[in-house]
Amino acid sequence: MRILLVEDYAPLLRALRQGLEEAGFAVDAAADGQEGLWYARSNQYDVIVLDIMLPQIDGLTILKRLRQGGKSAHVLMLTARDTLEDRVQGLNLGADDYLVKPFAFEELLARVRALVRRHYENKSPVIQVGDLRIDTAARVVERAGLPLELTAREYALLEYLALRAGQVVSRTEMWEHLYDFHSDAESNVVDVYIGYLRKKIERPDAPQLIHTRRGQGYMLGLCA
Amino acid sequence: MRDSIRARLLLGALLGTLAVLLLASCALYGITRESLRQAFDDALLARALSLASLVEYEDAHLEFEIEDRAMPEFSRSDRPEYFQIWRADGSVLRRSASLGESDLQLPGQTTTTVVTGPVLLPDRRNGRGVTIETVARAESAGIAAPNIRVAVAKDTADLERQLAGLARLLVLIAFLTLLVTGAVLTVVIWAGLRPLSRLTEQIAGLSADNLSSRIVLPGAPAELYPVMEVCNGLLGRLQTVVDRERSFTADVAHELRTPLAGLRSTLEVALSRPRGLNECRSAMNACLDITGQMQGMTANLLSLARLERNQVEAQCKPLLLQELLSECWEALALRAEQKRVTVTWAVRPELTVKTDRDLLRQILVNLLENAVNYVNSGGDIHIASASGSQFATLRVSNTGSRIAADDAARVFERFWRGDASRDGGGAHVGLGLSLVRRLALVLGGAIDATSQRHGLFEITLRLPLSKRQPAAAVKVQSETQSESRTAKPEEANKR
Repeated sequence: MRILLVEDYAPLLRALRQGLEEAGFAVDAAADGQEGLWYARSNQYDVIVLDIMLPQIDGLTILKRLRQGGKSAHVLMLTARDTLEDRVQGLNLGADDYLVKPFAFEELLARVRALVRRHYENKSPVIQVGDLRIDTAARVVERAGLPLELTAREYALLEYLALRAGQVVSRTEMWEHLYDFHSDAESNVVDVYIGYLRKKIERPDAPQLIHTRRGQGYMLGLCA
Repeated sequence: MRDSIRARLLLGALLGTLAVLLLASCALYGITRESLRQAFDDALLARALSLASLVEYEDAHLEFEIEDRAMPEFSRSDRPEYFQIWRADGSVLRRSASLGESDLQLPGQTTTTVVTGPVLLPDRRNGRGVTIETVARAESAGIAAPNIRVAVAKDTADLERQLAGLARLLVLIAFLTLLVTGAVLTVVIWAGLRPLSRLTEQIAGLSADNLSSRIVLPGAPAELYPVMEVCNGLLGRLQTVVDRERSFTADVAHELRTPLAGLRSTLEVALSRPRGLNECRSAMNACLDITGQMQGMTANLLSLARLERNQVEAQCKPLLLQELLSECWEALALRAEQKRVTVTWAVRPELTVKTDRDLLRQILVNLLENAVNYVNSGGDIHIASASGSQFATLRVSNTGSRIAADDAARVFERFWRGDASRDGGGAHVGLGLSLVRRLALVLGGAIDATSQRHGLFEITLRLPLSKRQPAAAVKVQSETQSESRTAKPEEANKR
């Protein structure tokens, strides 16, 4: 999943970025409002973590402009202000969630994941596709009750496909949502990782789960 | 007992009333007494005249032929009247029976015709008498009758009784008047001053919790309006101060939250999985930096608090401004070089200010650091001095400022940040300039800021001039010294 972090306090930005990346997210980071807004408009994000007090353009204004521009990314606001008015104002302007600093990173992570689920209209952290069971909270994958060992990238790819289970996902979308902006990923990388996934997931005696759609992309699902 | 307006008013009014009553009573008494006496004396005079008319001059001989029996009032035993008649030579012509053998002692042996006055009667009672000098009645016309003196006296018991009665009545009236006046005044004063009681109640009801309320007294008398206005003005100022204190505390808490969030997240992420030594060290260094920032912020806050409570005293001595500037610039020269900033100096070397070295250093470090932090890469920093009759002025300006012209004055507000530069890493909490302003005031100076269109931000610091500016002879020496000193700042003059 792809996340945009907009926070002007460098130590916090660094820590959050590292934490989120280690949790398997593709993270873009901006340190001021202008840059943040530009990122948000240029790319598709699943979740935007937005600080309110930002130089140049403050977080609430960014939020307003995003919503006016029709961007539907889920927004989690970070702030040091915890008065009722601030919370209500943020939520009314279109934020999806709100965290007061300082917070436990664990909580940030959990809320971000909840927002991701919401983005894909997934209420439960567990996604079941046939006998493939993906627990997005525990980050555990099982097929027919047997646990599968996946690398971080493999898991991220599988999770994304699972969230969009039954839909055809283009390579571009996968590339956008999974790999860092600055990494030199080529679209070929997606195919390579699909290959890795297939090796680990598909069984000769079980129904095929990962399907190829020529010219369109891939799909995770039961029927062909 | 505490002084009371009511008591004072009441006492004053009662005393005044008493004085008026006394005056009026005395006047009334006096007038009445004089009038009664006058009537008494007139009666005496008539009596004397009628007695005088009974003296006949016949055959060269004065005669008074009225029998005592015919004049019962002069002969009775109980409170008689008295008369006596003298011939011109002083011999007695006739006495009243009441006199017996003694003479009537009366006042005024003068040549005027009528004399009246109080007299002690022979039986030791108080009385009044009249003496007249007149001419006896001649039996036949054309004869010049001799003079006679007639004296009549009567006791004044009745008169005195009347006057005593009047006096008693006046005293009674005065007493009653005072009583009634006292009662009426008490009521009037208490009622009149009741708005004051209501005002006191309202003021007593104020506390730190409801400073936003104001004193309102509908229908208050005109005299209380200035008081109410002053009170409300005071409340307004108090509220501002308390609000500022509260928002300051809130601001501090908020500002501390961000570095705390940085610490917490850094530590939590570092602890979230097994880490190598280098990663650990890196996280620990990051935390150390953050605590350094918090330390700096706390120190600034404490300084501000102390300054605001006037707990900081400046030890002012003459100081060469250029020298201190160079000292403060040393640490920043490298960073300015790295940002490829052009620094120009126009400070008069012998300019001496009267100031506290440590406090001024804090100001200068702050100003110079700000300039270097906020200047754009490849931009300009200019430092110049000027001097008037009493003050020296130092101007520090930098290009690349993103502060709006209207916001220039706000830079001195606590926690106000124009635009955190990414170079600072969000460490600029915005306290520095409010501290600088306080420090400038303690040093007897002032500070101001302007921001112009093309991003030129300028801070002007005013300091008291030292009365002892280096003399001409010393000037030569300090010029050479300052040449070597200014060499340092000019090292930073890079393209």
